[in-house]
Amino acid sequence: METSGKEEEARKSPDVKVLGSGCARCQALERSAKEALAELGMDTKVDHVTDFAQIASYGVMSTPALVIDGKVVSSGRILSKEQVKALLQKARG
Amino acid sequence: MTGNFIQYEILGMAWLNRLIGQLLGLTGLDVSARMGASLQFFLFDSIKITVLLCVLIFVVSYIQSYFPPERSKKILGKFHGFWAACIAALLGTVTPFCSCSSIPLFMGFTSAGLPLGVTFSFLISSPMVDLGSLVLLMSIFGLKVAVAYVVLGLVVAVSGGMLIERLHMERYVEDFIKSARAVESDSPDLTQKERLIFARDQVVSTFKKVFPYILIGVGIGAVIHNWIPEAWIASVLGSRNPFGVVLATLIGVPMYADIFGTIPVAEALLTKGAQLGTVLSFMMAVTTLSLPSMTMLSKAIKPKLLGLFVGICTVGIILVGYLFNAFQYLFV
Repeated sequence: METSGKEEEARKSPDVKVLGSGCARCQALERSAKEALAELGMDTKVDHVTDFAQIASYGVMSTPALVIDGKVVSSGRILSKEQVKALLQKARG
Repeated sequence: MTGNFIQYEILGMAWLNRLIGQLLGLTGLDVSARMGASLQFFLFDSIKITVLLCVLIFVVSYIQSYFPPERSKKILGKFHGFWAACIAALLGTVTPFCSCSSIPLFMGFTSAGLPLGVTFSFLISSPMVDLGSLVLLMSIFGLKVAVAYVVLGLVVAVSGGMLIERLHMERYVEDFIKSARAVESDSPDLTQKERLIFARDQVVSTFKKVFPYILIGVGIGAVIHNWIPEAWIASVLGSRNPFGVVLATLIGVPMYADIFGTIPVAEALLTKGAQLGTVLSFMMAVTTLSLPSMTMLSKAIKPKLLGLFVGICTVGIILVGYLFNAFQYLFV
């Protein structure tokens, strides 16, 4: 039953990445993501990916983008905390 | 008649100017004197541009939500040569763009196999011409000038891209761009509600970003409008100075401002005797090229190509300026 234990673990802490060049818009998205995670009681660090090769490997063409569990859920937009929360809940639902 | 009404009263908001003049008059301020006239210009232009900005960004963002860059990439893959450059320049006007996205966009286009020239047509037209600037120009300079500005902007974008293509500049693109793997990404389909939310969010974030520029621009405009002698401006930027266009372009290139911040300056310069082409060159230079966007691009392309890009844009903008000056009589 080890796998289900791991799944349980993964369920608690989603993998959240912000893809961006470190510009003001990208930092705004990172802030929303952090606040959303904190409000949902999820103990995850937001990984801010600034390496362009990595950003491109997600197929993202407009930054900032938000990646949850390896899936691009939004790009080219600054999301509000509430919008990130909704996306997290959808990804986790 | 109706055309004039739309131009002056709705887009130009002349009624608002009269209202502000009357309100200022009620406070005992003489709006025909310098101080009063500066204040009237400042209040009227800040309000007008802010209102136009909010309405325009909303409408434009709503349209843009139908053209994410992923979609533009797919559309462009279907065209070749000259037509690809034209479509790229046109899509550049409707695809949402910010200079911080230029590299991922560049990589996305390149990995999809789009030729370098097509990518550059897009990169030139995207900041230079957009739907918002079309309407904004219409409200201030009239329909003919706005359409001519957009058409000439597209011509610069298409010919710039084609030239870069002809010169085979591929080797001056950094390797990490060329080695980017093609990734199919579908932008999720948005519902009407999501598009409206996106448009609203864009209004809020654009407003926050450009409002200080608008105030600075309107402030400079108010000073030019009422304090700088007409003879000065006319002699530097008017028909008596054959290098006015070159000067205006070179000053505008390193400047970083939004078209919304540039418009009041342009408007004031024009009423003070600067030539139309000179003013439009200044605006194009400010919005198309800026130090932040060049710094960003310098990470993706080598100095030679960057130099060529800047050179093409600068020369193109200068040519547009002279063309407008030569045919100014058609527009005014």
